[in-house]
Amino acid sequence: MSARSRLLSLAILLAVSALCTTAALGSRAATPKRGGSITIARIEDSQSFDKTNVFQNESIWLAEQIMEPIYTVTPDGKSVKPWLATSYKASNGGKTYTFKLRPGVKFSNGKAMTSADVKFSIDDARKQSKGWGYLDAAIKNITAPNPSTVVFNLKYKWAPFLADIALFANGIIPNNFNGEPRATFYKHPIGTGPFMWDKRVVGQSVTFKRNPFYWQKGKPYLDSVAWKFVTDENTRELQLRGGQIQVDEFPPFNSISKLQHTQGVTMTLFPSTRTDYLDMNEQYPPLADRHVRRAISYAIDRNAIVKSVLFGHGKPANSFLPPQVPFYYPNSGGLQYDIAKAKAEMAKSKFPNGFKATMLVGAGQQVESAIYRVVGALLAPGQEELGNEATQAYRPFDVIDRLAFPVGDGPELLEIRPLAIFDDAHTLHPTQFRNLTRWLIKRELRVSRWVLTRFDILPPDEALGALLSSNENRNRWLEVSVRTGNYDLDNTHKIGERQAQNGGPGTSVPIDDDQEVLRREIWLETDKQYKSAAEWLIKIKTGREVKVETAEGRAPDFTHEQPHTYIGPENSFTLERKPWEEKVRAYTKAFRDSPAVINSIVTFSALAQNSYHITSENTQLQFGQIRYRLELFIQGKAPDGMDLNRYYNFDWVKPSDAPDDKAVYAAEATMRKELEGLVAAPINEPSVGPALLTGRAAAVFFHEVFGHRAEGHRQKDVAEGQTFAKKVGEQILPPFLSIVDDTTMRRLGPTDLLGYYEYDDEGVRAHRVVLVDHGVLKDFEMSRSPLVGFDHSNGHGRRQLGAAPVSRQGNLIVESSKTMTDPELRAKLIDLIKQQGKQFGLLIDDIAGGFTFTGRGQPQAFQVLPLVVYKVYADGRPDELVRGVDIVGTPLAALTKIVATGDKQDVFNGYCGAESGSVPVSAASPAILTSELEVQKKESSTDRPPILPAPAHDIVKAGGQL
Amino acid sequence: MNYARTLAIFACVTAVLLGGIAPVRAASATQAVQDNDQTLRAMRDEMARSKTRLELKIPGTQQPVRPYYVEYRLLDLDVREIVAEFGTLLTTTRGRNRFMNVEARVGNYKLDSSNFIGDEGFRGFIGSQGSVGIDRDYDSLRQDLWIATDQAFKQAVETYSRKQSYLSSLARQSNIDDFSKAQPIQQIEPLATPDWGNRNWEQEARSASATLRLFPDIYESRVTYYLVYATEYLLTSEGTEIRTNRTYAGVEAGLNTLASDGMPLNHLYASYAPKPADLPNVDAVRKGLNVSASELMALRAAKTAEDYTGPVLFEARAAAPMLAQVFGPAMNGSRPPLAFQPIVEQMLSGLGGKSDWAGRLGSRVLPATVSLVDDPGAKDFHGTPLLGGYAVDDEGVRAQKVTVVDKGNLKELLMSRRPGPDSADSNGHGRSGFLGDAKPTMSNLFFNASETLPPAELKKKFLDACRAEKLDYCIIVREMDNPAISLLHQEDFSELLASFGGGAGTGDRLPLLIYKVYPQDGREEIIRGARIIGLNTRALRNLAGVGNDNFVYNYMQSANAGFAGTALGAFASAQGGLPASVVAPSLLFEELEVRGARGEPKRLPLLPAPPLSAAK
Repeated sequence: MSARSRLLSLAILLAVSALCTTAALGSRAATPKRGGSITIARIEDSQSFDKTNVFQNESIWLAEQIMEPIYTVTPDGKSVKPWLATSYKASNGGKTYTFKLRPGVKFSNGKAMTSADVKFSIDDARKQSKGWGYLDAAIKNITAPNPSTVVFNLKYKWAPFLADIALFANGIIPNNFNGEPRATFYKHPIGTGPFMWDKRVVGQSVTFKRNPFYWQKGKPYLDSVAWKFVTDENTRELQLRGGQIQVDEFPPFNSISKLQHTQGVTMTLFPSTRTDYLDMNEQYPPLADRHVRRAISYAIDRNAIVKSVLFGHGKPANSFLPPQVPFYYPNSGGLQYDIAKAKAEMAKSKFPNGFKATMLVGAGQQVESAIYRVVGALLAPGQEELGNEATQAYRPFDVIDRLAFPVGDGPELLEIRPLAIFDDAHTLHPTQFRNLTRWLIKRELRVSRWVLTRFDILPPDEALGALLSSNENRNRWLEVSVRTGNYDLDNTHKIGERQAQNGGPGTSVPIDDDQEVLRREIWLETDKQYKSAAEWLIKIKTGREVKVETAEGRAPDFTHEQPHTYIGPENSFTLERKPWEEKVRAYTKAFRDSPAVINSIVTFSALAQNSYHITSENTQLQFGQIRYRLELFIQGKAPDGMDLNRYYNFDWVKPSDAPDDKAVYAAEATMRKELEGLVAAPINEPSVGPALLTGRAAAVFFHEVFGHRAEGHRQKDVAEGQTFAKKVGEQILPPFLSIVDDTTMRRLGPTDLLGYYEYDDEGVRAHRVVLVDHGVLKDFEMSRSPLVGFDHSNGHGRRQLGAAPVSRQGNLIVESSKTMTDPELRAKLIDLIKQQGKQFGLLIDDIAGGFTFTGRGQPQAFQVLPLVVYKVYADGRPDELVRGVDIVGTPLAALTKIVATGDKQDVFNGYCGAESGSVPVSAASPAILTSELEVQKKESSTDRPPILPAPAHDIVKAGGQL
Repeated sequence: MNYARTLAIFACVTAVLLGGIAPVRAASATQAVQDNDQTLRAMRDEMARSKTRLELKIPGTQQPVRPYYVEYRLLDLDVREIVAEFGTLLTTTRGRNRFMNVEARVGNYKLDSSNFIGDEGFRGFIGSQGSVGIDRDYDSLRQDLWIATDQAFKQAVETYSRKQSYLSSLARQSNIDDFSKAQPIQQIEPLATPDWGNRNWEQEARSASATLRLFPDIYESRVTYYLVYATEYLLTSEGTEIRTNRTYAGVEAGLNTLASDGMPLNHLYASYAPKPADLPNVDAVRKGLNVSASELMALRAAKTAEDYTGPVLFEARAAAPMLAQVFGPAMNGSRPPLAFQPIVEQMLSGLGGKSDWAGRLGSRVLPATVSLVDDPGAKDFHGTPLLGGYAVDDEGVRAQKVTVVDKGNLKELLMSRRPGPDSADSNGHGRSGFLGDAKPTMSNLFFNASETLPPAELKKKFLDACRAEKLDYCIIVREMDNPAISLLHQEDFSELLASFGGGAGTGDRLPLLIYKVYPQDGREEIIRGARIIGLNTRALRNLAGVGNDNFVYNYMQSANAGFAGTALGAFASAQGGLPASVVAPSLLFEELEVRGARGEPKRLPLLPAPPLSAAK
């Protein structure tokens, strides 16, 4: 009997009984020959060899090789036979058993076994209150009238007595532990069995050698047996094939048929008593209901589980007892799969409309414990405190795209991915990122779950934040991507929620060109990535057999693309630091004139990037970019504590296009005025009504609401909402709107576009992609992960360094054929307000960014975070600046409510964060007028404004008393 | 990604950049210097305002709340980091940064807003700690200090009220004070300009690391030159005003490879100096790297370790770092903070935040022949410079020499201004890394014994013990690992975590060079994969012998200021460490447990290494 099942209690319902436990042997058995050694690989190390206390099979099976009982179980498990005793006699109405011991039995130390040893062994086993002692409860006392006779007196008649005495716990050891302390003895036990103790390396292996005094002459055949502890099933298989081990004790079910057909391997299946079952908590009212439990049993398709999990090596259970135990009744039938009956039972129950229950699966705990192991020494809180990642909504600042951590001891990584995409860089200045990081770090102390996320939110490449700090960096980063399998199925294939992680984000390599050292780095990184890829492919092939796949998921994993060669010029810049430091200093100072500004940060950065890309498909590329950026950022606080900020950025490529002081000061003046206005502005109440979004605001709106949903890989992933997956050819926008994503565009009007590039991160040439043509959905942004019907990349495979590329937006350009001038749009807005009988509509002038949920685990909602919002009144009152507004909505509804657009496009340049990291993007759109937009209150800090006035605006100049 | 460093960042929490640093000179210029330092002026002016005018009226209470203590710390940093491998430059960085930290305390010395890990929420993006402008101008610094003080004060008010409400739920409250009083100090050193030395550091890093090309079996290596200049400011509302210049420099290298059975192996080289100009020259670094690399090659060929229990001899070079690990957390005499959640307290003890020795003053903790002294004032040991000295600690308290253990009896623990069960007053050992919370931390630690043996006699005693126990072989430890330096791309955190334990936890110690010695013929055999277990303060009580061969171990000790100033580990790299020294002799243990190699090794790379020519 499995030791484990004794520990489980109560309310056991139904089960799949695996018919077979398995073992694969490295070579074909023939007539046994004396001599030789074997090594057996197994999945767990032994815990202890104290047979009286240990409940772990991996320990028991080994202990039995050394310590034998006086009677033993027959091979079919249904009876007992004499072993160290030759016979017994029952007397005194079944309350006395007298055993004759087998003559000539010796311990492995050469001493003869006598009745004193038997009495001592079983008396010791009986005493073990935390072990198997309870099985010997019927024994009153044991006597040893002569060396070859042992008498057991029982307290009462006890039918299972012989079976109990045959238990491994009642194995025979030398009297008085051979003169050693109990604990010491069990570190290297002595017995009469075929093997004797040799050595043990905890965590690695246990070795037994032949007992020269064994009572069965000529046996055992082997000189020694070693049990090696190898957790990973693939490693065991490889070692078996490579001859490093001779037996794999427990190959995975999916490899059984393969091993049966592997040359030189004997695959043996034998009847096992293993039963898998659900353990139900009857304290929970629904599960206390018999009908509910019956319904669950009827609803489980055991045949399907046998097929897909056990690969046919098992059979449906009809009762808790497996067929191998006595009194098993094969015809009981049990409650087998029958949906109609399940429904009928539910109808009869007290919960005809269903109920919610949480099922604890082993792997879940493993996951949690894995986190704590990685974090190291942190104590895991209770399961209930941890919450459930999959259903917990992430709040706006939780910029996390995935958590990955090892499961068990193997190399497998389990990934948890929240389903929010957060457009970080639109909203967050690098300094905010830094503060956010610090905040998350602090939070980890209490919510350890966050620990692994911080690396995802480190600021994007900060090149030079002048004045605040002055840094210069040069470095090079190597990424190696290895795919194994073939274009149809490779190691990146996603099975359900699970997808391979690449073997790490890459490595830093020398900036000096030294071929040998570079090759060395490439060699190691390739080896690492290859191993990771090979390992994942095996898992994926296995996983595929047990998971349902959608039609979308059946698309191949990698597109075929034409190889090409392009060696562009190397990019570099020479930058005069001093003038820029002076400028930044002056720009920051200008903000300080306003008492509303409590913090101001101006950042200038310059980045020259060169990419070298080479593939086994013969693509060879060298290309790169230069980017300059000036960011202006100010923070203030409203009297009620609400944090307010304004942000503006200039991006340019040619040094001559740098904004002049006049432009910068003009932008600053606007920002300052807006911040001062916002500090004094009233809070807007949630409302629904017509709204006008200016060009930049509309651009972000389209980026969030439409752009993310047109990213190709989201059409494929079962976890994604797939809003547009099946809508190609359908009208999704008003017919006057078209949308392209054109990454070949360097500029739009006078503005450099941040989403421009020559080649994407998978080495595919940039494309212009028409996504929506006159309102009809035509295409998606495609990476090299194909979709059914879209079998080529259109150059949108993008990523931040260290992440795996997925399809991402580049330059999302909204074009309109129904345009109006600004005054006309405004007039139309007033019309709409009147038509709807409202007092006012909203004019949204600037948007910080937004985020959207594209996953299925969340509502298909988006939230856009406006910075500057005015109420426009129908009665002609002047516009009123308000604060604390967030736009919320759902994509399909929002897109169809657009009624007209402006006549000129505005550009929003920013960085977009999603699962492949932060990438530069542009969005351009004319202003849009929508008939209905919902706004809600913004999340707000309740910190009060600073107690003392700003030093520069304090009437007491030198500090001290007023 | 460099996992070792990543994890170090995790552990450091905020202590990413720099530890407290050895003083350039222990100047005693107490007069206010006339150098028109705008930083100092801004700090003084904002301090004056905060001291007198900062108050919060709480509805329903009579008296407004005021901070009873305000502290400004500012770190002005100029850092160069150059990393090379196999003769090529990996990265070169120069950064100028300034950071401030503002602390405000509400309540009084007996009971205040500190020493409590509460459950308060996030307080907006402008915190009490952060970067400030590098221009050293008056206006922007005052603006930053203003906001930071405001945040720190509000946070303190909130924490104080939460702490009080938590305390009211306890049956018995600690009678240990929260903060000790200290004599204010004014010490303004003249401003110094960085002197990088007229050496071409990038070229030195290249040529030093090139020597490793002689060892093509090294998979990866990193040779890092780390040079720091800093000016530190400390102003408190009690009247302390300190401006010090600090500098240090280090060369550190990590090397790794795989043994033929796949076991990951690593080695390191580290050398530190008070000034960049004092760093060893290229030839000396090359020589050191050659020794480390040769030893790594020897490890590669070594047999794997097996479980062992018996006499162990720590040679002085290994004994000193081992003692740093064992004593570091034990000598911390401050109280641990109260935690809102009991789980945090558990974490603290697991991570070495609780001292084995606190509360045991007067009792026997080491053999009667042994004394332990920590002396921040010591400059050298018989001519060998010591790295751990300073004149005033990071809380503005004058450094004191402390006899921690006298003839085996615990006399006094190292104290910061956070009182503990045995003592309320700081003895000038409050040290912190990168503006973190100061915690009692050793400086220059001396292990003295009244009965010693020459090394040869100690070894004979060791071999005699080995024979007496009828063991086939016994164990000698020659060098200890410092995973903060030696680990490069290790994906397994366990080694690093073992070094984090600091001692309070498992007592796991990681040797780098460990040998079997066969008593019959004295033959030695290097082994790999061993870990010494259960080596904590208690194990030191059964020392069987002490050598007279003192070794000076200069190193970077962990300055991790996580978890409210508790110890996280023993070792760090120059990037995030506090300079320290341990002087210790060879030590013979009657019995220690050594655990053999564990775990499934990795597969070797599938392709052979590409060629690496020795010439460079």
